[in-house]
Amino acid sequence: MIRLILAIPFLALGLFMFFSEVVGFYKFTYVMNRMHAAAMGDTLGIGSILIAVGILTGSLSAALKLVLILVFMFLTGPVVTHLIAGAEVETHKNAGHEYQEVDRR
Amino acid sequence: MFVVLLGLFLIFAGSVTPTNLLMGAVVSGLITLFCAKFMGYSSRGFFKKLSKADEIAVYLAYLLKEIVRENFDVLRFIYRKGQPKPRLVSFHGKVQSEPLRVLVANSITLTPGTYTVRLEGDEYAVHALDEYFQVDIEYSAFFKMARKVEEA
Repeated sequence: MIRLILAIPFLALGLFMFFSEVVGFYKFTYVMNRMHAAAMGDTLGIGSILIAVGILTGSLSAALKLVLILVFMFLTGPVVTHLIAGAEVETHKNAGHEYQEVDRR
Repeated sequence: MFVVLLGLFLIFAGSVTPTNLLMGAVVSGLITLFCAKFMGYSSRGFFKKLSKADEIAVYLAYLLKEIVRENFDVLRFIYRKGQPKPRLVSFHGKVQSEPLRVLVANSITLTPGTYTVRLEGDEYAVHALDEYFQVDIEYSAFFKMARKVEEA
C-alpha cells in the first residue's frame, strides 16, 4: 500500500507528460517543432513511469533493470532525433521558412 | 571493464548466486580479453576515464536537472496560445575531445526545447523550439562542464 502511494505521483506525472506530448504533437504544425514535444515523453515521461514501476515492484534487481532501460533510452533517443532532424533539413527545400536561422560562428 | 561487465551480467541474471558469479566471471573475462586483443581496449585508458568520474557524475546530475526543468518549459509552450518561434542556431562549441562533443550534442538533444541537428568538428547546429531556448546556448553549463572534464 505504501509503495502504491509513493508510486502514484510518479505514475501521474508520467501520464501527464505523455498526454502533453500528444497535445503538443497536434498543436505544433511542423515536424521539427513536434520533435520537441515527442522528447518530453522520451525523457521525463518514461523516466517517471519507470520510477513508478521500480517502486511498485519493490525489487532491487528489477529496479536496476529499469535503470538500464532508461540508460538505453537516453543513449538511443538522441541518435534517432539527429537522423530525423538531419533528414528534414537536408531534404525539405523550404525548411528554412519554418524557422529562423541564427549564425553565431 | 571486467567489473562493469560482471555487474551487468548479475543485473540481467537477477540474483547473486555462486553459479551466476562463476558464469559471469568467465563470460566477462572472455569479452574483456577479446576487446583487449582485437579492439584496442586497455585497462589503463579505462582507469584514466574512471579518475574523471566525479566530474562526469556532476555533469550527469546537472543533465537530469536540466531535463526536468526544460520539460516544464516546453509544457508552457504547449498549453499557451499561438505557435512558438523556432530557431536554428549555428555556433562553435569549443570542445576539443570528440567523445565529449558527442556527449554535449546528445545532452542538448535530451533536454526538450533544443536538439542538435548537425555536429561537424566543433560546429553545432541546434534547433530551438523558441527564442527563449536559444539564448546563450553556446555558453551553457554543458559546454563549461565538458571543458572542465577535458582539463581534468
